[in-house]
Amino acid sequence: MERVFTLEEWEKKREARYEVARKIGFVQRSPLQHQLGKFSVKKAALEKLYGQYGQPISRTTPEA
Amino acid sequence: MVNTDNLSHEQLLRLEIAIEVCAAFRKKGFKPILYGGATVELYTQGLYSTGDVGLGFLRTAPNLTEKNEVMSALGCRDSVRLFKLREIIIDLGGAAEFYSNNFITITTPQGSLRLESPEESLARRLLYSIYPSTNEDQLQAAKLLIAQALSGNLPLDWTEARRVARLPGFKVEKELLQLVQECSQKLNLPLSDELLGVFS
Repeated sequence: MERVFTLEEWEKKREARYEVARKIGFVQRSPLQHQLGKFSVKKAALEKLYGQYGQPISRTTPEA
Repeated sequence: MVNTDNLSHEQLLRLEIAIEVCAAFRKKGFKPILYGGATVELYTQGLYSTGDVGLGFLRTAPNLTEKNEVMSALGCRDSVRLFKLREIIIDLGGAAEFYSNNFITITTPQGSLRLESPEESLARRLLYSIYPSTNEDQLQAAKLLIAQALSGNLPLDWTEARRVARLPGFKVEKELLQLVQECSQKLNLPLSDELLGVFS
């Protein structure tokens, strides 16, 4: 059973998804951060995009 | 606070590029599917990110020459697997083995994007959370997928989720049930009769 959504329909639930994620807990160390340390091929390009630690200011977890 | 505007911008850029790449491969008769971490990111909004666009192919995959023909036409340099398009890394896999055909398709005026089924995505996170060793982040990603489904933010067929979880390649049915109960309690959402029926 394939389910089809327009991007607009999908994005309508973005805030609701964020609220649920906040309640259940965010992932502490995403695969992006693992990859920054592992694969030299991807490393330079990913660092350029996401910073040395894979968490640019825009992607940081909520402030303590 | 998470800057959801910027988060949205990054995700949307990757979506846009994924749609462009998929359209190019579809023109050549291939069936690309966005899979792995990129789908978990879209399904959960839980800061799970691989940062790239991971694409596999249903049934037949393009060979190296065909991959490079398509990607160079989009403006990429020749490569074996990893391509860069407008600073976004595209990880082009081969013919992927999908255990569930419950794909989700997101359509836009520019084209569509087919995503690995959330049921399979969940079974994979559950497996990776315990094998080859315990992994807290994969466990958290599994919880996020379940929580979004229980909250009605992710269309997930629980019968299909259980079927995939029971497959010999996964064997994570027990873990699935445990996490469903845990997430239900944490979100204070009682399990529906339908869900209780699936797991009875």
